[in-house]
Amino acid sequence: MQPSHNVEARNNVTIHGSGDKVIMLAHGFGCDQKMWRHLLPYLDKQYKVILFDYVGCGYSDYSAYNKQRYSILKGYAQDVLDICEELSLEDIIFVGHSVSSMIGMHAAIQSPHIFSKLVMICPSPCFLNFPPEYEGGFDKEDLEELINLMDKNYVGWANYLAPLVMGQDSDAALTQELETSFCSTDPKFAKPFAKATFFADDRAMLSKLTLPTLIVQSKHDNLASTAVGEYMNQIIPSSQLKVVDAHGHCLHMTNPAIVSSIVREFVS
Amino acid sequence: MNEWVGEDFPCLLIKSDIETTKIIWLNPFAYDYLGLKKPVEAKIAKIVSKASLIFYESYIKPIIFANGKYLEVQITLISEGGKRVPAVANLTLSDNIVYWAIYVAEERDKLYQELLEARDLLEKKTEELTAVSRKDSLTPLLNRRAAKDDINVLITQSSRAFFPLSFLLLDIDFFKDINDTFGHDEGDKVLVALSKLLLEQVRETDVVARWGGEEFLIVLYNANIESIKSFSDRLHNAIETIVLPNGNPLTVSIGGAVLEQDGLKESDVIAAQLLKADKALYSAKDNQRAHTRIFDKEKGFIRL
Repeated sequence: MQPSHNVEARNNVTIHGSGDKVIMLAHGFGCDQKMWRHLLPYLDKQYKVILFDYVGCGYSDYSAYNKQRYSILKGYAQDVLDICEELSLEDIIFVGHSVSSMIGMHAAIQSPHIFSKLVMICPSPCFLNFPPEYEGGFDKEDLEELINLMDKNYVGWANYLAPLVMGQDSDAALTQELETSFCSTDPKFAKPFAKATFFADDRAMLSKLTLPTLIVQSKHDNLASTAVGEYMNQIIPSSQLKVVDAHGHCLHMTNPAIVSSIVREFVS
Repeated sequence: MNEWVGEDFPCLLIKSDIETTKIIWLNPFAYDYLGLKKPVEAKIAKIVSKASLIFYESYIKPIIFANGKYLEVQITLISEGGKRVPAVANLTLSDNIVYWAIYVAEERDKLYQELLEARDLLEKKTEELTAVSRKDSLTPLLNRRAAKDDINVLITQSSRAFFPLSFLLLDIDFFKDINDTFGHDEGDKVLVALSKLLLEQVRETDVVARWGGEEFLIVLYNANIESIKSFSDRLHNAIETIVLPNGNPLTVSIGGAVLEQDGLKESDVIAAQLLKADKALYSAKDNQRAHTRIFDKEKGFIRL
């Protein structure tokens, strides 16, 4: 029999800085909590900052991976709730990048008492196009090609077929990969996350989000256009939208100073 | 002999701005291949597929940002005339400029596609084999080993956040007589009919297995004695609808034990529960069969 899982170890939870207010930073699809290393120095002087990896990402416990649970965003939201429960967190400020904004929304709708405010960095409630009323930016074929591309890029890694043929656990291969990069492309974990992320349509949930919510958008974002931000801002009852005059989908990496000041202003 | 000129290199060399993704320089081969006109005002989004763009934002950019390079990444180029071409790129980052060295990789892509298909096939076969290895040879139920695996998963969940699990051992009354009187084929038919009925009566979260010859194990998820009672009443009634060739209804005896929190401390939780359930089963068999008894550590055997 396996011992009961320790959530802190399972999600590689790390706690930084100190302060009365707790900020949880949740990484998006692709990489892990190291994505926050640029923003962290701006926040950890004033706040207690909680970082973690979703199960299946970074240095999380891959043995806790459950295919069914992590095939939908609600499963990832449960990771957030589990961590909050284990650390007895309440009234936290949740900052999610990209898909984690939606994961945070799922968690906040399920257990609103845990959260006081929500910050969404480059979010999109739906990446798919539903013409004419909604322009998520991508067609189904694009997203299917993405899944294929992820597979093909993983073929390039050594030991690709070995774990499957030998019936071994792929942990060894994964460790090797993590040494060279903090972004996991192992299709076993990354593909379900990609599908959960890019095939999700959470537009109908936006109106149920009652928390004060800040949407931070990049003016030139290839994945989430400003129109998507405006759409969200219209529907979420108590939201505000800040558009940063910048490029790309990783504002917290490329423009940490601006993002941190916007977050600090919203928090206080 | 002519001197080598840039045009001769059959690869695409591109410089782009990390921030704006604007293309700031290309070699002549890249101009021609991508069908771009001078001066180039395109961004990366113009020359790669949308899927590649997601890959760029989710993987390539964070990685080159952190490590300064990303080698052998497969992308899809949009070449002159809008044709989609698989290509492999090596990228390095210096002074906010991304240096791309790209070669077209249509043949390599075909090989990778074949590898993926082979892997998918292997995965499918593995799944099929796993499914076969979990099934009982006669009935549609799980076999002993698969049931143990599934029960262990439930036990692990229960030890994380406790919920009671109820173990029920079910034994067909006078099965030997059924075999002896009506033959083994008829006996097998009874086993199959009962198995199908059991599957209809349980929930998806419960575990049902053929535990031995005419013995079955049911583990009810999140069930206490009250829920066992209503379940077993329903079950005994349903089982009586299976009629033997001589017109008599089939009956079964059931012994049960509820896994309480302290039972989780046992070194072999399943064996410890089964021992209790087995005792209750024998108590039921010794008392006219055709009913359910539960092992209770304080009250002894409880007839439901």
